[in-house]
Amino acid sequence: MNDDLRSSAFLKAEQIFEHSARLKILPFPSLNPTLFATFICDVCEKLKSRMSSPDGGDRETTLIPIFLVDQIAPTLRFIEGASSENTPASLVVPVERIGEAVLPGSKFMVCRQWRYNYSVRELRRRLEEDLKGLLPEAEHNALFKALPERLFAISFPSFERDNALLHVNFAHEIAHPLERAYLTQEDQTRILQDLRKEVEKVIAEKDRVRRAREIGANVGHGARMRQAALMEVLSDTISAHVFGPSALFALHEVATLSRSMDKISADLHPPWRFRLRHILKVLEELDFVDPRTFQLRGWPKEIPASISHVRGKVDGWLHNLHQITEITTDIDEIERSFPGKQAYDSADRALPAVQKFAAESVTQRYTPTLFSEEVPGLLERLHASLPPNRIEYTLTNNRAVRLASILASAWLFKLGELAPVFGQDRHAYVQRVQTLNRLVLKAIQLSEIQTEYAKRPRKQDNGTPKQA
Amino acid sequence: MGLLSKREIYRWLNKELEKRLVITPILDPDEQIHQGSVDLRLSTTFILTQKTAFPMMDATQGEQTLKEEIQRYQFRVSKRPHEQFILHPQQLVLGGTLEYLAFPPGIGGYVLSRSSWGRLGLIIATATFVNPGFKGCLTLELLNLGEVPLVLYPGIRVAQLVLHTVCGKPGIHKSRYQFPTEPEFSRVYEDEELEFWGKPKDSAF
Repeated sequence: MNDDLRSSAFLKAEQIFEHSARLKILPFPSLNPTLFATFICDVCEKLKSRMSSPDGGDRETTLIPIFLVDQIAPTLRFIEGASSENTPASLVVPVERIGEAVLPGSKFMVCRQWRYNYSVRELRRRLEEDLKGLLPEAEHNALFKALPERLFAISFPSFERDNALLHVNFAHEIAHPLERAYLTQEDQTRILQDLRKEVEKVIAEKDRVRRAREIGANVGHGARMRQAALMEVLSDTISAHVFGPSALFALHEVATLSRSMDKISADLHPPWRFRLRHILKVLEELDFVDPRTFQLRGWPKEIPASISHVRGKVDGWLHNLHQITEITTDIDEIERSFPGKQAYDSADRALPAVQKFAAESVTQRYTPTLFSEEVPGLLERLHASLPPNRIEYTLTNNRAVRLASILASAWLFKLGELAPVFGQDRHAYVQRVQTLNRLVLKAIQLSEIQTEYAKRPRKQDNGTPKQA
Repeated sequence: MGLLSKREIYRWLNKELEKRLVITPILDPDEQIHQGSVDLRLSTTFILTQKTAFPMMDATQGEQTLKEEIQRYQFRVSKRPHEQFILHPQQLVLGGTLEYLAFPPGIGGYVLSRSSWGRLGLIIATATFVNPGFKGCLTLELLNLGEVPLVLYPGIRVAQLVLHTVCGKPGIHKSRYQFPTEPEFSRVYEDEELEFWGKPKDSAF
């Protein structure tokens, strides 16, 4: 290895090290970004000493600068994007907790991204694999011992930072890493054979070689379409289990920004209308939505007068959404496409299994009973411009509420009370939605602090600690 | 107009929601509610002054300029619970109350330093009056008048809220700060008459 390359690699490692050390001291809303930044600093240190070591081979030292530039440097954006300033800080720890419950042994880093999208990315595996060739085994193992088994960056669109309601979509992203677990339990050989049979019926090419090639390509394409459809359905189902009706509201908000409700996207994601139809069905099965009237269930018999109008508006919204899903232009589009029809027929058959798998993956499910107990009281608080952090009947008769209830009350308030303001005064509408988001983020912060504070050991009169 | 006793504070805190004095959360009523006052806690966000970015603060230079310069002059820092915030001698920082307050029209209040912190040099408010009808988290002007740096943590009880009833028929409170949940930058630029006193377009003087 020549000195030019060696010095260049050394410099890159030094720059990345310095940059990560600077990022490490940013204020973060949780410990995970610091953990990852420390890990990156440690990797750089090891690589620098590897390059200075006399027993470092030319191959490794040539690969080190490439690894630094290609693999390490791009990960710094996740750390930077995870700072308190760049994230909805009070929501970060609860989202991490949901992730750890759905994927035990994993940790999450909530960060912004400039693309208008929610996404998830595993950070550990690729680094672990690629570093294997660059470091001695003992050093490699010691480094990765500091990281959790799986570390994910879940990203949100940067300018939606304070849009707490939309961040219900985090549950969808958290669920994506479960895809592999689901797919390994499917009989892939049989699925491909069945798909092949269906594809063969359509391809009429007489030339045997060309026909075989075409069948192969379409079976592959169809299998990817099927997989993408099932995986979105899986994640949407988990989101509905975690957040109840808010999962539908948040999905709809993203869907309204799409160019088409009916087309399979370029990256093979199913049509939005298909997903909305499906998630509505899941909510019916979970008893959140009445399948005959398409009205929201779970309201108490007597709704407080201050919020009684919300129910009618939300039911109206759900009725409209039901009409959107009744239109079958997405299915027509799929039926006309090849191998879309074959892929979606196959996916349809797997849907019950996907739903069962999703239901079993969520240990802390949001239920209509919890909704009924908590949401009306929180709606009253929002109506009074108070954060929906707690049900406080009186100062001493009060109790903590769940994150899902905070977000559900906020969604109902937005759809039922704020949506009509838009037609009257757009500026007032924007201000009120901003206030709603502030109150929700504050409520999440307070609810977390209250829960932690309640665990605090207290001193009794004689000075010995007692449980609060 | 009279100062609310502990018993009266409890009575207002337990009223039905529309008429209630809301202080949420009161993490520990026994420790926080006293005869005539309620202790308030420090929140997680602070606004600091970036002295090097700004030569001086002239409040009369016009709304837009002042708005931009105040934003440039100050920046936000967030702390996690259990994380230290160091306030140095003579440093002025804006903090907020952890508690969100909602005052009914018949109640007003004053925010004061807790004497145990005051004795260490911490002053928590210079604009101390809270209007009847106010809703939101209070911005605290934290100033260390002592000679050594003070270590603060989100959640500690630094302020006390003294409450009183309002004489006569209460009016509707309109604030330039709408339901704040964090400390807010100064909006002194919204004072319409400031420009007149500073740089009038046409003046006899």
